[in-house]
Amino acid sequence: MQILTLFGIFALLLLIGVPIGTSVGFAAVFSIWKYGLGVTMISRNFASGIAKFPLIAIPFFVLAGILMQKAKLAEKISNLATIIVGRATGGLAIAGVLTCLFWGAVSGSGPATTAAVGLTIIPVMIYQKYDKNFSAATIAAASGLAIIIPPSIAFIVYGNVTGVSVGALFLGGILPGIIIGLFLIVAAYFVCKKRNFRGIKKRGTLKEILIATKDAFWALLAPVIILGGIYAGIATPTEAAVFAVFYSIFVGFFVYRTLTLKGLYEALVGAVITSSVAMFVVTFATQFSIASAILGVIDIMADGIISIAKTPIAVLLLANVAIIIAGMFLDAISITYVFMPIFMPILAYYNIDLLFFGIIFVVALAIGQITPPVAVNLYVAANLVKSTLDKVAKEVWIYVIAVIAGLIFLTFFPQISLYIPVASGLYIP
Amino acid sequence: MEGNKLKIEELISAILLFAMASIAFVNVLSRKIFHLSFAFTEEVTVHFFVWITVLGIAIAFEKGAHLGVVTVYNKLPKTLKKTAAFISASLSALLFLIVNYYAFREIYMDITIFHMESEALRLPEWIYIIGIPIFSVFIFKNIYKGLKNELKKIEGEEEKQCKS
Amino acid sequence: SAKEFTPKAEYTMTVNVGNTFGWGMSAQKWCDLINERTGGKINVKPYWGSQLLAGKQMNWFQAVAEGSIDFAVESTINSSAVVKSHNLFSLPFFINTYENLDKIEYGETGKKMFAEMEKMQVKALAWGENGFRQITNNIRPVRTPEDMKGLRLRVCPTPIYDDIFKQLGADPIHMNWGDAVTGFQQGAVDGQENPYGVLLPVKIWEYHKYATNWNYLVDPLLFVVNKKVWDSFPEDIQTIIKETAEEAGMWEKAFVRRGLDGDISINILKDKFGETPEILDQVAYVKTMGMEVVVLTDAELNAFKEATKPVLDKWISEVGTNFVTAATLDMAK
Ligand code: NA
Ligand code: NA
Repeated sequence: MQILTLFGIFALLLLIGVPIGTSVGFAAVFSIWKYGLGVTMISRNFASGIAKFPLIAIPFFVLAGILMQKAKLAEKISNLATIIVGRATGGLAIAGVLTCLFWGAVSGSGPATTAAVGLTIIPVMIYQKYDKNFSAATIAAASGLAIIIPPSIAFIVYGNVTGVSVGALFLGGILPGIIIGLFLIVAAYFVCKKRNFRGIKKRGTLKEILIATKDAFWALLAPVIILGGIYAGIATPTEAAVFAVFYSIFVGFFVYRTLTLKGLYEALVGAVITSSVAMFVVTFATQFSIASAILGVIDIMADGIISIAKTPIAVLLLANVAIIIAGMFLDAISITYVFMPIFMPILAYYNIDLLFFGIIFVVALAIGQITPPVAVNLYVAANLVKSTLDKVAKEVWIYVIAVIAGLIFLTFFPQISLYIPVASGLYIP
Repeated sequence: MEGNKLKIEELISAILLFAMASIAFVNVLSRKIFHLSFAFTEEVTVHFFVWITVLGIAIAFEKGAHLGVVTVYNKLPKTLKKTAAFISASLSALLFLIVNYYAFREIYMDITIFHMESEALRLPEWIYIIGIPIFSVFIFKNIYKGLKNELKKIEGEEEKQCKS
Repeated sequence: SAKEFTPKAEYTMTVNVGNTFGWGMSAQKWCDLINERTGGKINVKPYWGSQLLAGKQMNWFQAVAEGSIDFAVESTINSSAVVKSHNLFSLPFFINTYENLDKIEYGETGKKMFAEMEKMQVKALAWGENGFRQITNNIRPVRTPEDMKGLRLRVCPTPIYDDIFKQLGADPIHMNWGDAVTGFQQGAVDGQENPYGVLLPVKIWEYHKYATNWNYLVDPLLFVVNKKVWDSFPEDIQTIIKETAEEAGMWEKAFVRRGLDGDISINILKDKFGETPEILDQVAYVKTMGMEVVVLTDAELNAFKEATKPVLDKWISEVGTNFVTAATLDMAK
């Protein structure tokens, strides 16, 4: 009954459109009050759920992303990608995926990437006679790469819940991100070929490529600044995020001179909103997981799963399915807080590596960003092309299949996810 | 930022975030270059983060920027939709009322019994906690404003449908 | 008793670490013993990693005092921001030996501390131990205060620790364990300080070559229960809970001290608990794993004592002179 109350309130409030933060928070606070699970800690835990140094990377990475977008860095990357691959069949769709792959190395959020890359490349795609809903779907799907390729809010939150080093998770995301990118490119190519979405007419000359590369130099350097520090061990992810902020201020004000004080102010407010929307869910989902732990949900679920799935691979596949289904209805942060406490004892039981699982987990979360009804990337993309979620969703399923294929591939080859973290000496499995 | 009107909660949060980034930046530089470590920068930045989160939650309430599942909500008829919007705003307000009730209780306990000190600057802990109720004023204000906007929008949609 | 006692279906307990540490094992042991000896009447469930505190271990004392959490097996370090006398254990090179520590805990000082906590609604029942904290690093063996200069060390994020390491010319850094490990592997962080009870489970030899056994300060554990919850228990149950706390605390002390106090703790484990742990002598074990362990001579120890004297003087008033005097008297007994 107590468990039913906790989850029932949460589900009911979600259903009638109450913000996720309020839904998860009210369900938790009500249960904590009603069943005496420690009411005096409500405000202390509200603050404790937020006041963690590693989590500060979230507003910083978001801020850096917005600043770089305002400095028009996304344009320069999409320009370069278009010149290189734009001529091929489906060239603009492929350029879109590649731009997301690169922008993913700057931005830590899926919807922010959809906005940044979508604004620059979708108009070009539509101009070149690509279907607008397909264009929106392509960018929405590829923007999921932003949470797989570091930096990534999803990895920061996963590290916070599980205790795995965020720096190691970041490095672990690089290869799987590229692989998922390739799966997306293949899917884009097949659709474009079938529906005759061609490339731009003109071939990019070597000179044009060089000029575009030079133009995009500071944008291409950004991921090196962000990841290089972590890889070399001279910066924690939070420190790297701080560097990214001042790097983008520097580039925006002094190199491209596209940033204004007003732009900086807007970026700061924008970053506050985006990070707070996330932290609203983070801090109350923390209390929700405390309530569910005391009410015994975790033990019941963990025992249940262990009795159903008898091998590590069965556990992984079951987890994939569970996260993909949850991802249809819930955001990445809530899923991490609700599911990881349940998965952790199971992973320990089967000796499944927590970093490897983190990669799989985040790839599955990326799928959730494009599966309706709750699909943050699709929502942003649909707004960009003035279409509806339903129409864009009809074009996105091919990409969902592509990412699922990639996910299964990564599930069977853990060494891909573990390669860079181990090789860099950042992680011992 | 709509209509270029400066909003106090946005201004405060922008200043705090910029301060957080600057403090953290100076800290990293000083640690890498001069080998000085300022434990207090960590303390200040994490508590500023709590404050900007409260402010940001407030701003997002007015803009309707919080994440939610609106599939069913969007299909509701006008009256039910208004009811749902009202319930949503009331529960959000109630949630933060509860948080603030316990924040005040925490401050009272800290001043009278625990005298807890912050980890690095050794300030009374309640100085940081009190930011929660202070900035929550904006949450209540903006939940109200956000509800008003939403109800107006629901009316507007209805009119549009009648005309077409 | 007139009133019928109905226990809660389950009581909560907060523990800052997991059950792979002696600390966590003793918490589990206490819960198991309570359940067993009350015939299943009292169930206490431990929550690891300060989960119930949203990860903020420094809040455990308030949570138990206010009754949001019923039980705790917790460190005095994590209550030192509220119970100032708990900083006594962190005074540099003040306690330094197991004999001194036991005299303080089981003497007048310990009684005073328990009484002080009880006034704040936390009923302390027994002492446990995370242990005397030692320093490890990957740069050089530390024998003299000079050797500390410039070492970047991950330390416990409490003000007195910062003061001690700054006084010695080292660079104290606060970071969570995951980041610290990354820092060790990349050479961004040179070392850290922790008791043997932690050094073994985290396999410190994978990161550091040098350890110095300097017992510079100690990290005791408290077995506590909320005062109201305690008062709600009938006398027979109170007796069981207190005795089991003492038993789990004694086991824990012996477990983390094994190999560090000659045969004393090893024999307690064997004779009282019928246990022979896999790793009998912790210091010998880290040596077999390739570590170089410095054991300070009295003269070398005195050099550190001298070097950190200003910090000791500063913090005596923080701790409360009455507590420091009581401790000094206890140690002289
Ligand atoms: Na990213
Ligand atoms: Na979804």
